[in-house]
Amino acid sequence: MDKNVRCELRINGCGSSKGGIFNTVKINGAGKIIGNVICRVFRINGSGIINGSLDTEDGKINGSGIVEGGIKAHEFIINGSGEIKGSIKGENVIISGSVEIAENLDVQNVKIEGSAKIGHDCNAEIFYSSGSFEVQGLLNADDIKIRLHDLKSQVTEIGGGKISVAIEASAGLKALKNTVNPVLESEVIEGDEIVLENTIAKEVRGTNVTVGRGCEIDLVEYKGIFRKTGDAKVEEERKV
Amino acid sequence: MEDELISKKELLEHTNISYGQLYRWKRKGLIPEDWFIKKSTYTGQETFFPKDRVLSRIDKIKNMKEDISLDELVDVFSPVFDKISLNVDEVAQRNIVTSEVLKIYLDFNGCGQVLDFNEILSVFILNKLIVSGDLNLDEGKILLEVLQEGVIKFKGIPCEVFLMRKLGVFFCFMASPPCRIYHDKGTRLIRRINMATVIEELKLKLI
Repeated sequence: MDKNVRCELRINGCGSSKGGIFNTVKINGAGKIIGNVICRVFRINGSGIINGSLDTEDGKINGSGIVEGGIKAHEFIINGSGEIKGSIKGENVIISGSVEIAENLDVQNVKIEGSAKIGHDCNAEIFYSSGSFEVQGLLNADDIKIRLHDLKSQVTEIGGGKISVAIEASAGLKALKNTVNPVLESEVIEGDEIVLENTIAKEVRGTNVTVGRGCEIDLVEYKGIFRKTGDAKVEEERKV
Repeated sequence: MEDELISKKELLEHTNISYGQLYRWKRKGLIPEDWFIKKSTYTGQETFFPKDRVLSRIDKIKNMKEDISLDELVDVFSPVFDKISLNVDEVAQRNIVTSEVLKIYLDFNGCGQVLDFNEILSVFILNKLIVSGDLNLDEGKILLEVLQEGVIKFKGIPCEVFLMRKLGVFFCFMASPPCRIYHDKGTRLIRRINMATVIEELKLKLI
């Protein structure tokens, strides 16, 4: 299709439309799109429902959005709340609000500043979270950086290259006052370079492992160097 | 018929790769999702792999890593059918199949001068089996019919071809793993061909 003849879909106020191929799609107010949407720019300011899948280069949900299918996007930002019944595939995804993804999140870079719930796996090259998240399956990324604030994050398995979990300075202060206890829970953590704080896990396996304050680990297996700092609790450590 | 399994720990030790590499290859799809087999052991849950397949795959990844990028490797290992097509002469010239088998295939199929990936794949499998003496020409035609429709029906999902013979009568079918088969004693399983493995083999020849 010729890119020049793509038209614009705009819902101002309240309305609904069929899906299709567009240049930009903007929902200002409350809108419902029935069918799959392919567009270059996608915006929801207000509340929007897509009864299908979304394929866009640049997408943003400010407000609330529900996508019944999956999302394919180069850039996708969720500032309000999002509910995706399929998977999100893309390059860069930023979650500053809250989002629920029923299946996978497969991206190059993901940044979670709010909260995210992922039904299956999360695959990324770079995973950064300063919010909270729940991954039902595997969190697999080359570089995983988790900064714990005041909420609990949970994942079944973590695997990757560099994995670092730390308490954010301000949260640490609150933790001292016993007001909050931010923690990361995972059954298994496997990686090359692992540095942990406030992490509860059954098994941690890696080349070099550092277990810091607030950690409770049943078993650590390491190949290179193992370090334990602060009040970390490690029941068993094994050099393999 | 079950594959022998290897635990993740043994695998890393044996191949000398790190967790980071294993997870990266998993992410890229170089090691298929269905090779990660979770099993409960007395120490908790552990991940196992089909030993022979994963070892040969890792060997290939390690050996090829230097000249091609990981993303290019993904194409080689993906069971998705390519948009490659070759001229009939080229298929014979590049030693993908012998010219005799190619001729049989062309007689059977009567297609034009250009073969698409599925066609190259079918004739590649046929060639393997006829050269090894597992099939005769008529049986080969039955196989081709099954392959032609099967690769379309199973498009993209892992599948295997089973070749069997009972009282001298040949038959074959395709199935998607994991599956186990059980057959009566009079039936002989001639070959069980994993499509992903053959596709991989073929793609290496096509590079």
